[in-house]
Amino acid sequence: MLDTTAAILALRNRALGLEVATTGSTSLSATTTGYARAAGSFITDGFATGMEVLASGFSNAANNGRSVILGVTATALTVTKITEQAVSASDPTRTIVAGTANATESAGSGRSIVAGLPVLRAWEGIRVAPSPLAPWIEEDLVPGTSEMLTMPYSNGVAEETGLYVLKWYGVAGKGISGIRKCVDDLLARFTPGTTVTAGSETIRIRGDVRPRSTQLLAQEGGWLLCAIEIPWRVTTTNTVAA
Amino acid sequence: MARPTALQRATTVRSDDFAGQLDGFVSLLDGRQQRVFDAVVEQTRASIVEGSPITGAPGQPVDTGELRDSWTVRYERPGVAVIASDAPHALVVELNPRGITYSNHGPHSVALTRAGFPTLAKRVARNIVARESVGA
Repeated sequence: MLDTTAAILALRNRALGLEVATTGSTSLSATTTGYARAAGSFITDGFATGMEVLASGFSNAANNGRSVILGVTATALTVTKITEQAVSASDPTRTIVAGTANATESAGSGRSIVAGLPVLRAWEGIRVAPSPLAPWIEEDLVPGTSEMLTMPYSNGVAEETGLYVLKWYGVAGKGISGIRKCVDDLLARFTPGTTVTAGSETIRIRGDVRPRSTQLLAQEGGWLLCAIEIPWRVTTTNTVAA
Repeated sequence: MARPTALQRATTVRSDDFAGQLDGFVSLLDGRQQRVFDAVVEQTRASIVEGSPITGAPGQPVDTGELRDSWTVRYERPGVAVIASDAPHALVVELNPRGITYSNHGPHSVALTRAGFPTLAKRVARNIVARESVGA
């Protein structure tokens, strides 16, 4: 029998490895409106408006951390700085608030900017209060079917199927290329044949019915929702209860 | 004209019989294919709307019944049926943004039906073939 907690953690862990765009370790400077570079191209690296990015390696701590891209040129990223926090000590609901704006910092090497999964994540059982400042994601592990494939039942092979659904809420009004690229790259982490290990079981991403993304759906609150449906299957050994 | 040999006569007779048998078999397959198609369409619709243990789909949540009743089957051309809803909230219920809990049925019915479609189609076909084989 599938350990569903291990299953959701394994599938989630696969999603957490998402890297949509990166500068790699390079020479970057910080401006009061974002980041700049003299060599290379943010566009060629894959950055797009609406993506959430994580900057690191800057001497001034205020220039590190998370932000959302408002504009992209080859040599400049215009961003809004954000930070994640709990609503209050007694309320564990997570939310996003405006972060400290960048300070001017001259170019230096060993710095990077990476676009990946938004930091506001409504994992199963986690409450979030989304902010129109930043994208966020939500997950569902949806049980499908469970049946015995072989006889006798004792130590027989059982098959379970289901869906892992990730819902990406992009900030509306910032174009769709950022959302689409993030969703496409997330789908690419769950191609048919991909396996993840959940406890002692191996979850396989199905190929007879491929993972897919849905159409964009405008949501109240200023988001564009795009869901990713990932069909999976796992075979387990059936143990007859004593 | 030379008389046909025994072998030629036998071959001719068998060819006629075989052609007739093939015609009958093709008719049988055509009819069965249509019955399988009709049943697969109906079972798929039922999976989306009412739910199905074969696919694991929960079916459409019912409050006023507007969403459930909005699902229709449209036959576009031979072998192609479109099962769709024109209810404005159908996609919202399907994707279930913000994880709403429903008192009956639930979200992701289309996605689960899609995921379970190969099994559903296989079972429908197997049942029809078995039933007709027994009937024959």
